Amino acid sequence: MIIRGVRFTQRTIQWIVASSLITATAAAKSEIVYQQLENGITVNAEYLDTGSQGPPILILHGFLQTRDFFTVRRLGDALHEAGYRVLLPNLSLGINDRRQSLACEAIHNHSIEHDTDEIAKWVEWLYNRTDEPIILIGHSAGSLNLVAFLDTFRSTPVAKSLLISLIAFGQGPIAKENLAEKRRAEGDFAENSDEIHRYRLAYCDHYSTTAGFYLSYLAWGQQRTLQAISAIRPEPTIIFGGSDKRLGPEWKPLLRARNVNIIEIEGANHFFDHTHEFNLLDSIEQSLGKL
Amino acid sequence: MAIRPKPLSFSLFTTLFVFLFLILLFTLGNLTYLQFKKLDDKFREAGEQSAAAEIELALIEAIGLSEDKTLRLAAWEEIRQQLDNSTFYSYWYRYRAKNNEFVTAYNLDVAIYDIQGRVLAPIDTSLLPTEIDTRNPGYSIQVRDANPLILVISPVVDPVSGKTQGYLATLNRLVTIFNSLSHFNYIDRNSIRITIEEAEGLSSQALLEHIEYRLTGDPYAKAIKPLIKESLLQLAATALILTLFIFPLAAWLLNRPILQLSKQIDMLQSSPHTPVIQERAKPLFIKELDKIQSSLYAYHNKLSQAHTTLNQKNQELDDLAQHDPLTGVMNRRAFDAYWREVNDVFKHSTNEICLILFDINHFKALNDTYGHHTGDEILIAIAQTINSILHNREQLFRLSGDEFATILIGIPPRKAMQIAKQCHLAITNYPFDKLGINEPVRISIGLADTSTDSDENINALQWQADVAIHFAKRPGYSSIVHFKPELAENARGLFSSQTHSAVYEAVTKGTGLVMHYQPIVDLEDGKPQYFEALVRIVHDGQLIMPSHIFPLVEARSLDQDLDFHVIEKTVSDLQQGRIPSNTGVSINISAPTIVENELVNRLAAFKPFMDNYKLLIEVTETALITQLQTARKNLEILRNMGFSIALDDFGSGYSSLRYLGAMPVDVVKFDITLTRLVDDRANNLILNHLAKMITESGHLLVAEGIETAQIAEQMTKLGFRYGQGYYFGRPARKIGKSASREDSANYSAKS
Repeated sequence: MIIRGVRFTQRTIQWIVASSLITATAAAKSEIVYQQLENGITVNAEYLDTGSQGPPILILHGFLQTRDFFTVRRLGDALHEAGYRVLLPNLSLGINDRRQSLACEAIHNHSIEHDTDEIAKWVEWLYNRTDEPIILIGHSAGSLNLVAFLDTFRSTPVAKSLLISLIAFGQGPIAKENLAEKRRAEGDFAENSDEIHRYRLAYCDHYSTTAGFYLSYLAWGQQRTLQAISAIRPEPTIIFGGSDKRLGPEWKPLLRARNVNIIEIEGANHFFDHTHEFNLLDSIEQSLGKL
Repeated sequence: MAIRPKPLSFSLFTTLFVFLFLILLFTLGNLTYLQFKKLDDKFREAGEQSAAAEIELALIEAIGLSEDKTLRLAAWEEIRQQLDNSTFYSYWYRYRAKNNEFVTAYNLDVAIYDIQGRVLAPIDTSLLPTEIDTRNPGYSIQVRDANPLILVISPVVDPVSGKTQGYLATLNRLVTIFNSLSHFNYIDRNSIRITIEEAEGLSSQALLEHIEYRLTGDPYAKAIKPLIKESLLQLAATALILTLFIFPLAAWLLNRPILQLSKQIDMLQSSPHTPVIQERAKPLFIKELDKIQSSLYAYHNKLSQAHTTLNQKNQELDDLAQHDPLTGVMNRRAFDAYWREVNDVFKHSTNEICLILFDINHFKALNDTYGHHTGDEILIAIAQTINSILHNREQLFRLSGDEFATILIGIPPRKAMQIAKQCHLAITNYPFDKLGINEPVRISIGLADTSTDSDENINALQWQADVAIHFAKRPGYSSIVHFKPELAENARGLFSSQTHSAVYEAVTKGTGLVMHYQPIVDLEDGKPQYFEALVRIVHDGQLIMPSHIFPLVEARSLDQDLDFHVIEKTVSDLQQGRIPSNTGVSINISAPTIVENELVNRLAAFKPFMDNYKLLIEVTETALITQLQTARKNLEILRNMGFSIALDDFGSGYSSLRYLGAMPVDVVKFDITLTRLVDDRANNLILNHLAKMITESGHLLVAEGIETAQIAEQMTKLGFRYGQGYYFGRPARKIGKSASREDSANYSAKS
C-alpha cells in the first residue's frame, strides 16, 4: 500500500492536537524503568502508561540513538496519546544507564546480540506489565534490531511489528561498510578479538569496537535480513518514505519480491520529518487498526 | 600735580596685545591640558580599579567555566562507561578524551579516576597526576612554565543511584579561557601574563597577585582623548594661524592705517600750510579710519585756508595800517616803525644812512586856491614821481600833509644828493598844468646822513633833516640842503636838540607848558574884555616861544596833543584864579583838532566857569580844515555849550571869507597883516568896507597887532569893537591889575 500525498483526515487532526498536548500530558504519565542485565549494566526505558488497557507498544530507536530521537519520540508520544501503552527503551550499547546518543568514535563495547537480548528483556517486561501481545515498532536500524530479535526469539508474544525505514547493514548509499572492511575485521577478530579497532559502519567512518562486535552487526546484511523477514510471524509491515535516500534502489524491490507488506509514504524521507510524520502516524494507525 | 603717563605707540600696544593673547592662549591650552591630564588620571585610576575587578571577575568566571565544563564532561556517559569498564581507557584517552563535544580548546588534559582517586590507567603523556586527593574536589590553580592552569576535579555520579562512581580531572589553560572571554573592557587580554614560573595549589586571590596586565584604557577616555588632543592641536593651530595670519592681517588693517594717520599728522604738523589731497593718500580700507583721515585732511585744509585768509587779512590790515590811502606810499606809522628798525639794526653799523625829507612849497596855498581834489592830485603826482626816481628800491613815506621822506641805506652822500636832485628836477619838470595848475610846483629837500662829522647818533638824523629842510625853504638857500653842523649853529635856538626835546616833551606830556594871557580890550574904553591864552614852554628857566613850538608841532602832527594840554592848563589857571572874573578867556584850537569828537569832551571842563567868564574858541588855520561838516557840527555843539567861536588870523591866507560863511562864527579876528593895512589909504578903504560887511553880518570884529594908540583909534573908526596888541598889553603869565577890566589903561580910543 502506498500512501500518496498528504491527507489531512479527521484522524490526522486528532494526531496534531494530540502532539501538541504531548509535553503536558506525557510527562505526567511516563516513568523511567530500569532493568539490570546479566553483565551488570543497567538499562532504562520510558514507559508511557495510559492507565487504560490500550495495546502495549515497544518502540525502538535507530542506530546509536536514544528514544529521544524525534521520529521515535513523537511517534511514541502520539501513540501514547492515542491510548497505547508505549515503552521506549534505550539500548545500552554497552553503557550503563545510557541516556545519550553515542558517537561513532566512542568505544562500542556491544554487539547486535547484546541489543537483541535487551529487546527481549524489555518485551518480556512489557508483556509482564500488560499481559498482552506486544506491538513492536522500530525505526531504521531499530527495525533491523527488531528483525534480529524476532528472528532470534520467535515465540515472543508479538501482536504486530511495524518496521519503519527498515535498513540492513551493507546496503544503501551511505553504508560505509564494505567487503574489505569486513575482511579486515575478520582478520582482526582472528588475531585478537578483544582489541578495539576503528571500522566503518553505517554512517560511521571511525566506529571503535572489537572485531567480534563489529562483525555481529555486519552479519545482518540484506540477505540475512530478507530471510529473517520472510520468517517473521505475524508478517511485519514495512513503512518507507517515498524519498528515502538512505535506501539502496534494490532494497524495496527485494522486499516486495518477498511479498512483504510495504507502505510507502510519498515524499517522506528516512526520518519522516515535517508533515510526513502525520502520514506516518496515519499509516501506523491504519495498520494497528487492522489488528 | 598729577603725572600724565607717557603714551605708548600703537605698534607697542599691538605687540603687547599679541603677546598677551598668546600667553592667554598658552595658559588656556595648558589649563585644558592639565584638566585633561587630571581627568585622564581619574580615568586611569578608575580603569585600574575596573581592571582589577575585571581580572578578578574573569578569573572567577574562568574557574566557573572550567568547573562547569568539567561537570558537564563528568556527566558524559562515556566517562561512566570508562569507570564501568576501563579496559579501553588508554584508547579512549587517546581518541576520545580530548576529542568530543564537551571538551574545548582550553582543556589541556583530562583524566578519570576511580573512587579511590587513582587514575583508570596511567598515561605517559598526561599532565594530570595519577592519583588525586578525593577529599577536596573542586579547583586549584597551578602554574607551569609561567602558564596558569586551572585544575578541576569533579566527582562522577551515577544518575540512578546518585553514588559517586569516580572522579574526573581537567586541566584548563587560564590564558586561553581569558582569550575566549569577550568582555575585557579595561585590560588588554594579550598583555596578561604571570609573574611566577611554577606554583601549585594556588588560590584565585594568590594568583591575582601574580597577574600582570596592561590597561586598555577607559573607552570613554579612549574616545575623548583623541578628541581633546585634536582640540588642543586645533587650538594651537588656531593660535598659530592667528599669529601668522590674522594678527598680521589685523595689524595691516588697523596698525598700518593708524601709523599712516600718525605719520600724516606729523607731516601735516611739519607742513601746516600745505594743502593735502586725500585721493593721493593710501587707502585705509576701514570706514571709521577713512573718516578720521578725511576729517583730518578736511580740518587741515580748512585750517590752512583759514590761515591763508588770515595772513591775507593781516597783510591787508598791515597794508592799510602802514600805507597812505591817498598816495599809496607808506605812512607816518610805517616810517616810525621802519625808523626804529633801522635804528636797532644800524645803531652800531658803519653803513651810511641818509634821511631825505621832501616838502611841497606853498602847498596850503595851492590847496586853498585849487581845492582839495587838486591838492590830492598834486600829492599823488609828487609821490609817484619820487617813487619813480627811487625805482621802488627805497621806501617813500608820507609823514604829514605835504611832507615825504625816504631812508637810503648804504648809499654814499654824493649819490644821495644826486637822487635828491633827480627828484627835484623830475618834479620841476612834471607837467602840473595838466592838473589845471598855472603856478609852478616846487619842493624843498633836506638831507641828513650819518657821514656828517657829528657825535649825534642815528636819531639825530631827523632833527638834522628838519634843520636842512628849514633852510631849504628859506630865501637865499638852495631848494636842496644837505645838513651841515654850521646850519645847526645858525638854528641853535630853533633846532637845538635840547629845545626840540623840551618842546616835544611839553607838547606830548604837558611838562613845562604854561599859558600866557594877552588882553583883548574894548576899543571904546580900553578895558580888557577877555584874555587870549597863548602857549609858552618853560625850559631850564628859559621861555620857548611859539615860533619854536609850532614848527615842531606841525612837523610831528602834534596839534591835538598841544590843544588838549592848552585846555587843561587854561582850566587849571581858571581854577587857580589867574584870570580875573567877569572877564573871559579864549583858547586857540588848531584845524586838525576841530574835527575831533574828543574836543567837545575836553572843553566840557570849562563848564564850571561859564557863569563868570566869557569863553571863546579861536579856530586857527581854518584852511587846513578838510572836514568842514564835522568841524561845523563840533562848533555848533560848542556854541550851544556857551562858547563863542572866533575865526582867527582872518586875512592871513589861512582863514578866508569862505570859512566865515561856512562856519558858525561869532567873532572875527583880523590878522595883523590886515591891521597893518590901516596905514595905507587905499587898503584902508577896503578894510573899512570889509569890517563893515562883517560887522553887518552880525560878527564882532577883533583887530590884532594894535601896537599904537593911532592904530587903535583908526581901527575904532573902521568899526572894530575889540582890539589886541602890544599897545594894550603883552602876553604875560600873570595878568596885572592894570589889565583888569575895572582898572582900564589910560586909554581912550577917541582921544
